[in-house]
Amino acid sequence: MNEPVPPMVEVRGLTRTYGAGSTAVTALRDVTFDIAPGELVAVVGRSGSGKTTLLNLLGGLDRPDSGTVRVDGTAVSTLDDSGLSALRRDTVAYVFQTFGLIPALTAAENVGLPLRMRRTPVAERERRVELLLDLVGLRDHARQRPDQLSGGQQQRVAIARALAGSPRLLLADEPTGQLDTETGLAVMSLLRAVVESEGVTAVVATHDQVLMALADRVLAISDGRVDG
Amino acid sequence: MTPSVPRPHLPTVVGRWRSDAAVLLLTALVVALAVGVTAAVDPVTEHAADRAIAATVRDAGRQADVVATLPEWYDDPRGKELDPSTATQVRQDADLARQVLPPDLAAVVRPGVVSVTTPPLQLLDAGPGRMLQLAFVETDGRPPAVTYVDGAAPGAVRPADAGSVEVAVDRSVAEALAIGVGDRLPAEDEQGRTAELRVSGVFTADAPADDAWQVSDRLLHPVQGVADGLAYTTGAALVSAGALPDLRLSLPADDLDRRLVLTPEPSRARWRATRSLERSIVSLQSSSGVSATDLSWDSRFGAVLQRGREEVAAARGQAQVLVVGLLGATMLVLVLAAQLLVRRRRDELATLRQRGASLGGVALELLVEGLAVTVLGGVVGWGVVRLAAGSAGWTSAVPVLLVAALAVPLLGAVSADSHGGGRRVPANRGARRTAERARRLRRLAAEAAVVAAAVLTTSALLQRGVTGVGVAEDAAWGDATAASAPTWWALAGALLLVHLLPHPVRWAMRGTRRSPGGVGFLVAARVAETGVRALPVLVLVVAVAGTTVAGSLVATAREGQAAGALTAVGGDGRIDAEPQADLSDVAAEAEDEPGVVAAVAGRVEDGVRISSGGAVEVVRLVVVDAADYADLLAAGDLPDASRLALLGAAGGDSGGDPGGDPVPALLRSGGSPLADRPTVRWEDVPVVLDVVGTAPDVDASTDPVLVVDASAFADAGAVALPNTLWLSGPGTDQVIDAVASRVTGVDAVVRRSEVVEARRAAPLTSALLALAVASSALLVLLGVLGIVLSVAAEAPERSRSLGRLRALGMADRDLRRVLLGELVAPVAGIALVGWSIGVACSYAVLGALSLDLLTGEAVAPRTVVPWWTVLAVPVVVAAALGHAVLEARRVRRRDLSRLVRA
Repeated sequence: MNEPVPPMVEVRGLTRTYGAGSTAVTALRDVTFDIAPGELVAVVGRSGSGKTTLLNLLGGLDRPDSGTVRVDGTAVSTLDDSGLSALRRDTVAYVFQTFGLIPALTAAENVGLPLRMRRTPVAERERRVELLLDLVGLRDHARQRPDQLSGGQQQRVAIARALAGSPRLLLADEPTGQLDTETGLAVMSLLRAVVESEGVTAVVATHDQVLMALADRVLAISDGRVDG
Repeated sequence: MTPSVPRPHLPTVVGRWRSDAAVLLLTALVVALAVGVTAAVDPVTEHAADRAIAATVRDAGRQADVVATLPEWYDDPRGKELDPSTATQVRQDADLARQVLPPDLAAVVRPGVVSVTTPPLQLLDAGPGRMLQLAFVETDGRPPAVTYVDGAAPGAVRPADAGSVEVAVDRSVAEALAIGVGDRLPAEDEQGRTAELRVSGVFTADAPADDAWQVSDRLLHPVQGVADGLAYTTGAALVSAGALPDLRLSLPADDLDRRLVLTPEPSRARWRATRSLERSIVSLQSSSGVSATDLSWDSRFGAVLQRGREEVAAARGQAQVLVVGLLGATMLVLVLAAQLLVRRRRDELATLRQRGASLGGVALELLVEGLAVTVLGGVVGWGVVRLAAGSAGWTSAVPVLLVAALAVPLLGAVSADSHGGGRRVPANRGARRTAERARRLRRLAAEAAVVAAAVLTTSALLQRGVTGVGVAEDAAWGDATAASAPTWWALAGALLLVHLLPHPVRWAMRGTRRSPGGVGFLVAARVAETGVRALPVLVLVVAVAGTTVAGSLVATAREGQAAGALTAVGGDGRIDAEPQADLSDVAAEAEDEPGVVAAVAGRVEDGVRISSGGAVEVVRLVVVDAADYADLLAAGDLPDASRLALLGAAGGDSGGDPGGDPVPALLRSGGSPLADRPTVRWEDVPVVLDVVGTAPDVDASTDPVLVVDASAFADAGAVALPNTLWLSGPGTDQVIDAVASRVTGVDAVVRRSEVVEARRAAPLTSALLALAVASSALLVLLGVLGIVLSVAAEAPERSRSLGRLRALGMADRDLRRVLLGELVAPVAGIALVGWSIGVACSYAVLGALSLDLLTGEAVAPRTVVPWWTVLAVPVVVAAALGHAVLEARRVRRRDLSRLVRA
């Protein structure tokens, strides 16, 4: 009989409230769920339902009021600042709705940033960057800066950058939110493909019906609670 | 249908005030500082100029006197009679002279001294060599205050004694001429016309400094010497109003010189009145009669005032160089603040434009705000100066006020037009390229204009200096065009830097691109993105360069004053005394004193006439042992010591024999037309000179200077007893009083250190140095403000970038390093370039600022750029560092989840 595979993401009783007193808004209420390794999970819900808050807590960009988050066995909510930095550098990667590229750097340099932070040897870094740009179909745009790329191309660079450090968990916050339908579809397909090819677990907050269809599982958030 | 005039929406204006209160208050503060400084410059300049003119008049002493020679008395050829009203006539003539004084001149002179003097009369009772001059003196209708130690004041003689005159003498004169009360002294003038003098009293002066005694130095100080091998003594005696008729009766009219001497009161001389006073003196002199029976005027007061005015004009121009730099940096900082405001409001302004607001309407709303800030800052700055100084100027601040009021509306309108969707972009690529080329050409033309301005203003500065040719003498400011040269060069240098800076940044990126780490690479990338924006570079370069020029001006002036004092004194100390043979022995002893390196005695005689061909020139004659004098000059770091070796070859006996070997001499003539073999008469001994070179540039004489070797001079039959002792060495100040105690008849003990202090405390110098220090401090402050504003303008974008890097897992330590590198490295580089430009400007322009008028040197002082001017660089770097630390803390505190969504 096979050993049960430990979950990549383990969330227990997660609560996050913004503000205090009468103006307090509870973005997440006692949320509990697991995500298995290699799973592509779509988090859906209306605007303000708590999708982004959930992703921020998973990625260590924010801290919960109560509850725990474990990513690849590491208790995220107990890490200090340097531990969180290490987590973001080595385990978790982010893809932002606004791409989050550094304007002063070329596409290749943006993709290589996570590897620089790990002080990866130059030759290995360049190989990996080339591979990833190839993977996202931007090999010919390696020397272009973000302002010389279209929105879809920028998001593809952002995905390549997120994958550069070989993260265990990829978090994407509405990655197609700023793209037209056709480009969004291409990006989603790419995301699905790279998750499979790189063996990454992915949690994607989205309104996109196509991505929902591509996901292994859909977590619906409503009023700070998770269904599904 | 006529377009409606846009009206500002005041609630919007107030709302913006609230949201950007910090930047607006900072702008008001900058305006207040600039207006305060410029407002203070006018009254401070005026006050310093008045004090400088007063000091010039005071230093000029008797040179500034206005002298009226009253009409000569008429001697009836049929015989003279005693006229008891003689003194009254003199007073009436003096009053008439006063009445013709122009009112402005009358307002600055004291009541004046009325005198009737004779030439020195030979006393015939005890052999040759005793001379006595007679003087009737009154100030404001009263004789000078004296106390009779023997006898009484002179009075009228009895009619039976007609031809005699009663006189009184100072005790020193009585002793020198060996005369006393009751003595009857037969005397004669140069024409052999005789009179009898009766000594009625011997007195001591109650107030020896009284102007009245200046009529003749010999009244209180008899002169003794040797001429043609014979000893002589000359003194002067007082004649009272009662004795004046006897004097007039005893001597012919041409022996009686009647004068009114008007001495200017220094504290009444005002800088603004100098030009008018000069004109008054010229008109007075031109009104003088040509015959002896006319009233005639003579004065060098005009020349004294002109010299003072030139010094004020130079100092004013020098101050203007500093103020223009300050105003330039201030205006750039104001534009930077406006840029920050407009950038913060870019989206809001674009929305306004998209909703149909006209550009005029947008600009008008911003103008209301700009005017409010400008008026607030201006009133505060001007008011503070008005309260503190009693008066305040405002004209110099006009450019600052205009920039403060208009920068935000203009930049805001441009921003609204650019980002509000109203600006059309050509559809085809070729047209876009043409538009881009046109934009570059416009920028290039603007930059070329700056370089041209730098070249032209420098040319103006080098050609006509900063004193202002064609500028009204009493204008508040001098030649602004010339004075702006350093600022234009700083601007031109900054623009060049803006063009050059991307290259090293690109090299840095290239160098770090293949490094495994991210900090250096990210720093280079961020600097490439933000570090070469033109306006912050301009602000920092102009501020640091201006600080360097101001600091160099201070150091150059101070060093020049020290060098000028050394030249004027002729060493570290000087003792002026009556001529005496022992002075050479005292000099030899002084060399053994601790801290004295060299001591030399020599004769310095002013007013010596030398003739050459048909020309006669008055020179300062310096008779000194050439070898010892060369040692003294070399020991004191004084110039041209080597030239004295030319005097070593002494000539033969040329005394009275123009055919003998001439005495080698060094001459500093200042354009004097003397030929190479002039003749000097020394105590009636003619000495032919052979001018073999130029005299050392030592001493403060305005006359030509002639230096001869004492031995050679003596060999030529002319003996010049030394009257001056120079000392050189670090211990001079400590021993000079002891050395002076061994010298008889000391006139003055002059220490170089005291001369330096006096020059530094002079009104113009101290005011200019204070302005230089203040403008340095303000320029550094403006540089820091420029950094704060430019850093603040980029802060949101930088914060987003740093947030992304944090989200990618960059450690806090590395984030701090990126931030420090991004903020500090460009500031350090730009500030260093600014300092270099300041150094270059200092060497290029300080020589043309007429600083010699402040330092007292004959030529422009050597430019000095002190090491501490580079301290402006660490100060602005520290400001950037401080800001980086604060921003790092702020970024770390900010919610990362919000940062990455921005």
